Amino acid sequence: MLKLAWKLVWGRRARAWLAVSSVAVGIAVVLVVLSALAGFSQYLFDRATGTLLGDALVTQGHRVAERRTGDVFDPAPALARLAADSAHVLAAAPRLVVPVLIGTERSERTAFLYGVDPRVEARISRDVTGLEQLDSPSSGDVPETRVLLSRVEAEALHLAVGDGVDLIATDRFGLPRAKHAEVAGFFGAASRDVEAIVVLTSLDVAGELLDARGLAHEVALALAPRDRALDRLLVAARRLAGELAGGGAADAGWIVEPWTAVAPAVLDYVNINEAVYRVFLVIEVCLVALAVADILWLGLTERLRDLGTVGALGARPAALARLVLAQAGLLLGFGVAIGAVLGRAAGSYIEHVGIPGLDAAAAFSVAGFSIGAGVTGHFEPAQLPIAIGVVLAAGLAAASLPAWRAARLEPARVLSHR
Amino acid sequence: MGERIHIDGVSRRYGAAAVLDGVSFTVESGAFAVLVGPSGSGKTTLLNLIGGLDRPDAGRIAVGSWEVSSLAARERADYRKRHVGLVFQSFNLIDVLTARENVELPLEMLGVDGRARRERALACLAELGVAHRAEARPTELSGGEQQRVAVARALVKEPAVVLADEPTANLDHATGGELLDALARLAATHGTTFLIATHDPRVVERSPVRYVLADGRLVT
Repeated sequence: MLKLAWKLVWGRRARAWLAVSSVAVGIAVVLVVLSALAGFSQYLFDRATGTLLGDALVTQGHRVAERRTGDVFDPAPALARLAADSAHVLAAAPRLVVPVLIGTERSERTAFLYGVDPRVEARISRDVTGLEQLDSPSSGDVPETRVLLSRVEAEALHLAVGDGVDLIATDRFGLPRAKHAEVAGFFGAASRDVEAIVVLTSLDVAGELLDARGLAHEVALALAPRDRALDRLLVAARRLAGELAGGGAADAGWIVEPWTAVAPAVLDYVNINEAVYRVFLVIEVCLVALAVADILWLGLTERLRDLGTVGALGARPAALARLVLAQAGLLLGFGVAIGAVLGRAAGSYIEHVGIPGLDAAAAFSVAGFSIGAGVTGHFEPAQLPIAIGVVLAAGLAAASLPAWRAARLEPARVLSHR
Repeated sequence: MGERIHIDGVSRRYGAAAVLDGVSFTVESGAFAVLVGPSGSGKTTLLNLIGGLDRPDAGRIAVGSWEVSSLAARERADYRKRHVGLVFQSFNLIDVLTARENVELPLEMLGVDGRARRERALACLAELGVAHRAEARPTELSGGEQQRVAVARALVKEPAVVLADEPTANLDHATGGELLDALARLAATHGTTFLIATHDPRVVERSPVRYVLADGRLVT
């Protein structure tokens, strides 16, 4: 019966390719939507919790020390090296995250940036360049440096914007362990006049950075909203805080909290985003299901005469239903195989290139958070079985109707309608 | 070996129209019988009922030990698969299969293995003079070739009963004669019971057993 199903499917190649294409495109579209919406979700979360780079605003210029003289650490080349060396870390890093950076050295008026996320590398560089441009020798009276967080970010991080914090830049990924010493060495060797360091990072990195510097005032631990390791990480964070406090930190004002406690209002925004995410997904899945169902239904309906003939030759009703399901299975199988490749490629494209149509101007606004340039898709391996499962379910549901119809057809009636 | 066909008071209506009305007759085992009548007289409907493709509204149909008129859908499928060879007026060949694959289909349903299936299909096609077209698709065949392939498909499993609806309708005089010769030869060889619906005088002339339908009733 499978051979006959194959013959019936392959015998009408145009129709078969149409059905296979609809399944493949359906899977690809679901994957793209999942990736895009996951990217939106992550972007909004990052905006809400202040872990997105590039939102710092320079409100007053001031002379920044030359950072390329060799005696002052210039993080930009190091960042590039770290990014290049961190591919395996980027792949393995939990979503909790967050490297960081924040440091202001009052004595030298120097701001340092740190980050290893290649996606934001360009923005880091741009920010650094911006600061360099402020380093104008012609400036006589040097005002106080003031690099501000957005209000929401500052609130989310429980920071007092002002003298305590001059700059914040963050990144989502942890540093490779091999680089810890280098980073810690930098902090250890730098000026001792750092007023504040806020670190959002992996626990190991946070520990080493802060141990080395011993000057941090606060730690805010940002966690992904769906991070399943939340409790475990909180316990670890609290332990770290205790160790740091007992280890001679200059100021033991450690605060270790989940982001939802730090900024409960942010949870509303994230929840809104989640709701939007689900609505989009449901709509998309319905559209895909209808398209697949339509193609399969049409194709199988056109083969009713063949089914009637097979029935007239002695196929039982259940065998006719199986024949229909086998045809659908073949179409779905090929569609899934092609769609998985196509979808993975499309997901990868929007992950690396970004979501077409979003320019620098805010394209969307959700609960006061604008979403603009910098939004990229976020492909996760788990999205693939979800997309395949959704389209398979839609396809089998679509095939079940003609299968049921085939099981009930009267051969004489079908054949008399030629 | 053929089986006896017994029809007793069979009626079939489609909506308000009575297509068959109390038809009764018996075709003895191994007979070569024809069912004659003008278009719309109920010949095809009666063949469908005897072949288990449809169910009568009233009356009884028995083929050998099979009480066809009271079989459930699944049992009627088994009955068609094992005991009946059907030749449709419009052939009903599956156009994505070759002629040989069409003929093999009933054997595949019976679980005959691939090699034996192929040999029997080719032998049957050869007997009907179309073995050279075995790998052609139905759309590549002439009407007469399609008709012979359809007949081969009905005969290949050596059924007890063959029900043929206008088997010579699409054939010229010579080809129709060859087909009838082949059918008669098969009937004599295997003792198969043939019931052929036709209004072709050539077929009628060859059959000693004739039933005439008119307006859904048996005339003679």
